[in-house]
Amino acid sequence: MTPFQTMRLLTHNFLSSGFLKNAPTGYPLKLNAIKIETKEADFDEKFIKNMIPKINYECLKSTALGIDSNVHLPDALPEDWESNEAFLKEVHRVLMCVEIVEGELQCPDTGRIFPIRDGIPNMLVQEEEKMDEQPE
Amino acid sequence: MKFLFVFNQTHPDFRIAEFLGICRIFDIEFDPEQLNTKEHVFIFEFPDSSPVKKILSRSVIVKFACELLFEPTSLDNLFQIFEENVEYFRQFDSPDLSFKCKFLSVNRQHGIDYLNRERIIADKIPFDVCNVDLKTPDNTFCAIEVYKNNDSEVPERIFFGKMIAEGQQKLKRIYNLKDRLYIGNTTMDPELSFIQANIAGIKAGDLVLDPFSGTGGLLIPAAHFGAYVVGAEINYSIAKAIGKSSRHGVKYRNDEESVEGNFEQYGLSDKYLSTILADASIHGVYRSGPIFDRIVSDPPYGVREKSSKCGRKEPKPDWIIKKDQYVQSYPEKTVYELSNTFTDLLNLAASKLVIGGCLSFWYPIVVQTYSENSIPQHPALKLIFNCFQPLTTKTARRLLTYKKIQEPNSGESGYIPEDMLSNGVFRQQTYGK
Repeated sequence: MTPFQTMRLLTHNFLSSGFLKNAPTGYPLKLNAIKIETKEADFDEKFIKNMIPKINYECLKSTALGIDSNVHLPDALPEDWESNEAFLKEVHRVLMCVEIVEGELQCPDTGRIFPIRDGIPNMLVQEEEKMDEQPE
Repeated sequence: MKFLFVFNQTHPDFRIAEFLGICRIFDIEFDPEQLNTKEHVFIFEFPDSSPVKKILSRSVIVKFACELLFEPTSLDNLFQIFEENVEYFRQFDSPDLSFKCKFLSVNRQHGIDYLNRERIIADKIPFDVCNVDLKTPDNTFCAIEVYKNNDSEVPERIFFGKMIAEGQQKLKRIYNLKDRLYIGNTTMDPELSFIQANIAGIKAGDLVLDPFSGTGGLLIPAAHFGAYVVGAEINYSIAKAIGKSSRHGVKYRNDEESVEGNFEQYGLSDKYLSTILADASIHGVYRSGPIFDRIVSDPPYGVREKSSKCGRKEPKPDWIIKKDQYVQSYPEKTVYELSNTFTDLLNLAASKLVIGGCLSFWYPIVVQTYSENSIPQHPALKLIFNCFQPLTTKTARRLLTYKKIQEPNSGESGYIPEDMLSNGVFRQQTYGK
């Protein structure tokens, strides 16, 4: 049996549609999940601590709540996040264990849909849809 | 303490970069002047064996390392030294411990009876009760003879030491392409892919991107070393593992094959985050700001795998797509000019890498016209390693590794002072036209 190809919420946190015409921000992409899988993944504290300063926390929290009502993340990043193990574990669960198999991502500015099929988000667009000058 | 490092003689041009890359990962102080590509055995000083063990846990190019005990002038001299150092050997002389002796010659293989040498030396080691175990010994003692060349009668130098450990040559076997579930036309040789991961300084907990990920060949070593990986691929068939197979004698890719399957095969599923279908020339697909710790890549050169990006060819009338079909379609692709592939990659690294992060990629060159000016540059990136690997008589590739030293100022972008790659030159040279 083919192993499931999936998209984790961590990947969603980094994706943007800012390359489209008329998409001044293109972030965060709205996630409409149709099929979700949950997987067990080993808690890697070093990695989660490396990721927390890099992720957009607000986007993570709202996206996670949108697909899973059991998410226990505080509204803002707690001050003691580096030593708060319960918090780190919950971030780990949300980032690494919730996986999207089917669904779509939607540009917040233009409404352009990017389908996710078999866990692979398709971010390819036609030439005419792109901004002429691509941001670096 | 003195340690003897024995290097593999393949890929000599990658040796220094790999060693320094690994030292950087573990913050090990090391003077690069001590290492060269002409000799294969070196003596380095470290305060204790822990940095040596760390290096051996990563290096594919170091064969093994030992704690240097003696430097005899001849085998007879070595046996004499054994007699004088009975005290030293006593700590290993126990019926509960086993040992073996390993013999190695450098620069001469001809006419040396290895087994006999190992037996003679093992006999002379002053042990009374310690047993020989050739498979899983507790202690391994190594004798190494370094010759000038194949015709030399007597060795120039002899070393005797106690083995610390072997390097990671086994990775070549474990990750061999023959047994890998899913490979593509240009999947990187596993040995080189691990060397690249070392040169790029990939470490546990890093986030690593390959913008031309294909079947994940460069991301697998990163995952093996504990990093988490994301791949971007423009080709739907490759990302989904459908269509014609790259394997000799196999027509189509089967259902078992997938990028995720590769990671699962090696027990690395946790480290594999996602593949995204994206155009490597469009950097806006990642949100602004530094995200990745390392970017590794082997961009297509247009020889065995064509290089493409989304864009328009000369249109044909039946190509018109209605607006409501956009979402479902896979856009047309156009030729991605080779030099732009690389300047774009530098721009991507300059904006999406963290400061101190590394970009490492393979860069095709035409040997005759190569000069330092044909290496891509970016004000925010500093070239730290440049390794050479010949491909054909006329062409070669270089593994270029850059470190991000600052955030790019607006308007700064990657450039190639003297572009040697445009207009299909590399492809023409490869096919000798």
